[in-house]
Amino acid sequence: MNGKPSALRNTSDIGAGVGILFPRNRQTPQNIDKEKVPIGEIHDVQQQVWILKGETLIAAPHEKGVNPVSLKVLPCRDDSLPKDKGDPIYLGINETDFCLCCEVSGGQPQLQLVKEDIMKLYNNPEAVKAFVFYQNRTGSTSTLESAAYPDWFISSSDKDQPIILTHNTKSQYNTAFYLDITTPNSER
Amino acid sequence: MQNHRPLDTGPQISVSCFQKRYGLFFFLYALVVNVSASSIQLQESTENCQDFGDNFIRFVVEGEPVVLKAPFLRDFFSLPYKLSWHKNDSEKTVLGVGESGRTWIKDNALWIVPASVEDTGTYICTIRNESYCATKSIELKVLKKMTASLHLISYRQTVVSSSPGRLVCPEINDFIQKTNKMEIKWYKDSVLLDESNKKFSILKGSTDCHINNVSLNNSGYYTCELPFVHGNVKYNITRHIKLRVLKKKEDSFPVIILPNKTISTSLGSKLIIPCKAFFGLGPQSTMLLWWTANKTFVDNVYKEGRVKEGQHHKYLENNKSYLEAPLIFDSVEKKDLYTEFVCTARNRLGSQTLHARVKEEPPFSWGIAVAPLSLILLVFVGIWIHRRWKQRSGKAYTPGKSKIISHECQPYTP
Repeated sequence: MNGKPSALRNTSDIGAGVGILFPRNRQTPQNIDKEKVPIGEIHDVQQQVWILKGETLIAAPHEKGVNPVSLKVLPCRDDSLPKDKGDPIYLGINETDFCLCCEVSGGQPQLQLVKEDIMKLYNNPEAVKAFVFYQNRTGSTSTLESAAYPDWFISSSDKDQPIILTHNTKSQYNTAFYLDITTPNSER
Repeated sequence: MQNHRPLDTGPQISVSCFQKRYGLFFFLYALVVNVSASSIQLQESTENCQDFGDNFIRFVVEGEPVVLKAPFLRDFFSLPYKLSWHKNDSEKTVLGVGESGRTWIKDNALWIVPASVEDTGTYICTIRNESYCATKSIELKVLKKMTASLHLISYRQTVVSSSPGRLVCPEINDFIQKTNKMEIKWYKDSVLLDESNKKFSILKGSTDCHINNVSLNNSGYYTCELPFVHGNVKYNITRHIKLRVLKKKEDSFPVIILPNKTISTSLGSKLIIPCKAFFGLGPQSTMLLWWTANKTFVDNVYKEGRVKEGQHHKYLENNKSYLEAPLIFDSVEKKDLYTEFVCTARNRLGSQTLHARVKEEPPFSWGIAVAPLSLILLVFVGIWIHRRWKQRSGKAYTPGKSKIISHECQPYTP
């Protein structure tokens, strides 16, 4: 997915170099960790998951047969972003090429699904702001604020309604989500 | 999804041409539409309709009211449309016409009150106007009460341990008749959760069940029940929930343990600088580590790959989460000595950086290598001379003392 040069397969080889030796006492993992993008499961406070309908995300209760989307979550590593807004992250739809993006359409910011490689965004030194969301945690829930359009939050409403950006956090739209992120293949 | 495909065949298009060109034929057109509309009352034809495919199978239990909806379809219609429901059986009978019987249409949704096992099948919602027609099918499986598997009929919900949790009785809004007086009964594994239970709180007029402080043993099957009255018959709207409890992750601020700040090496040689950081107890959600050279990601600086970030290595050791990533130099060059290499560790709480500087080792010299060896040799020679001298002087000048020594040594030299 990324253009990373293939890493050395055997740590005992690289340990032969001059300098600090890489620890040899553990097994070498089979994959580069960067290709194992952290995956987030998301649901809103109404216990609705997100499902993909064409190129739109909608909210739905998670009944049998519903296939909820999981999110690829990678940080934006640009140090120049404000520190008080939350964790700057890129969000992609797992098992698709779509990333969540904020673009002005019809006079106001809209949440869009755009085909983009999340690793490319991650490896970009400067923040690609349209794709950056600040994850701000309160207790076990998080809000996801657009970095490009401050005070616009990802929100859900009723069943079958699309996931959108909302400006009014006190409206009927819900902006608090449970986002549980796990990194695949954590070794034990 | 946005492509509205108008019909390229069928009576609608040809009739609309008539309408445009020959106003006189409008009467004829109205007659045709009326005739087809009256036939729709009995049988539904979905020919030439854009099909939006099957939805997933909906499992319900016999004896309960069911509401079927096809919400996406109407998004395609800005102009007035006609909506109908029919079962995809041999008769293709249109359902919900009129207010009598077990089925009716309310707000575009098909109500079946109550559902019986024979209602199992495919239901098709058709929306059409003069120029466009779309269908959506929903598979309904009505299970017998005694044989309904909880796994099939349960909704999945998730809460996090060591914090307040919220269960929601799903998809019951259509059946709420008196919002303020609404009383939903909640059960955990068939045991009623009432006021005596301090762990759960259920408010009147709310569809929620709150768990005050979620613990791992709160996972399992829950049931919520709402009474619904229709035609003097009281039904129960029952929903089952399979609750999963996620263990709260205990992460801490990342701490970089390695590398040393200055790394000595010689030009032209291979160099590995590991960076290792501690991220907290137990498995962690976000653990990130990366290297920069003069504030740019290493891979972006050394496109030819002379210096690169190696494999990331994540592991738990004594229940502590660590992540390591080496910075690998194929061959150290002079300019590396003036480059600022920084390892950054980050998780959701924050980040820590550590600067590493590559320093040139003093070149190898024989003088430096031989000096300590000569010194050691000198010390040994000195000790040997000293002993020899002591032995000789002992024999020549102090015979009495020698006796004492030999006496003292007796136990050791039997």
